[in-house]
Amino acid sequence: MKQGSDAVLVKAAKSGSDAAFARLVDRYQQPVRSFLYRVCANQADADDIAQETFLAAWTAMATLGSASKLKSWLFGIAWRKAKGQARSAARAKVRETSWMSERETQDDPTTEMKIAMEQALAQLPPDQRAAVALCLAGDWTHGDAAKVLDMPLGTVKSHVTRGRARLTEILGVE
Amino acid sequence: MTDTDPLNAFFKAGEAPAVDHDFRAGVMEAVARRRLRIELAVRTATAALIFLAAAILAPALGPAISLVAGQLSTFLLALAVVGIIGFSGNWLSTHAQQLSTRRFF
Repeated sequence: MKQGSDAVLVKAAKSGSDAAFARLVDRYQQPVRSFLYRVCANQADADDIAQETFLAAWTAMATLGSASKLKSWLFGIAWRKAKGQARSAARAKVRETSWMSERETQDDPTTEMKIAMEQALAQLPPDQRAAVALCLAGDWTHGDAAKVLDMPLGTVKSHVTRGRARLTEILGVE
Repeated sequence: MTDTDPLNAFFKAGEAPAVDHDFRAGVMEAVARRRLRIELAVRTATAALIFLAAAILAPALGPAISLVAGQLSTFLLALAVVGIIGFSGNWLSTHAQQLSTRRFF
């Protein structure tokens, strides 16, 4: 059961309550970080960006209008920061990929699936990857994803369709 | 995405942990550092403004202080000066803390 609705926590956070803001971090860190894991293709960078996202949210909390827009607002910040680090993330991906090819294969099926998805997502263009991360991996509608990613609705739908097809092809699933 | 989606298992494998106290602690530490920077900036700017105001007003305040000193005993004058400084400092300190919550940075 949610202890304190988003509206209550946002109001308290706007008034300067660190406890309320920490509660919001607890509530949204998993979806934000999961999204960034899929978009950045580098978990370390993703966590750094996630932390920057929440810090930016704390700084700009007064500009958040309605608490009902909190989730999309957070994801919008995260996406913009991820795009801003796209170049350095691409350079890090080259290093990460070479390291990944040298590490021992994990026997854990979950880890293997995680690695397989990371490598598959890395082959998608950034915008397509983001659309897939929101609409396929998350529970976002195409319309909400379009607002967060600042893309036309038709573009998001196209990205999701093509992204799904590409992922199923790479991963060998139907 | 439905539970029957074959990609579902792959996405679930790559999810961030549901609970991560270390991550939250890292975020709140960053928040504390930013708040400290804001407070330091506000207090520094406040001190600079006080110094500037005193420098500008000194020529005008000099005769006024002399006039007041001529009519008050030294003790009352010292009490008045201390009171003004104390009240101003408390007011500025209180408002500086409130300004730090504005999150200009």
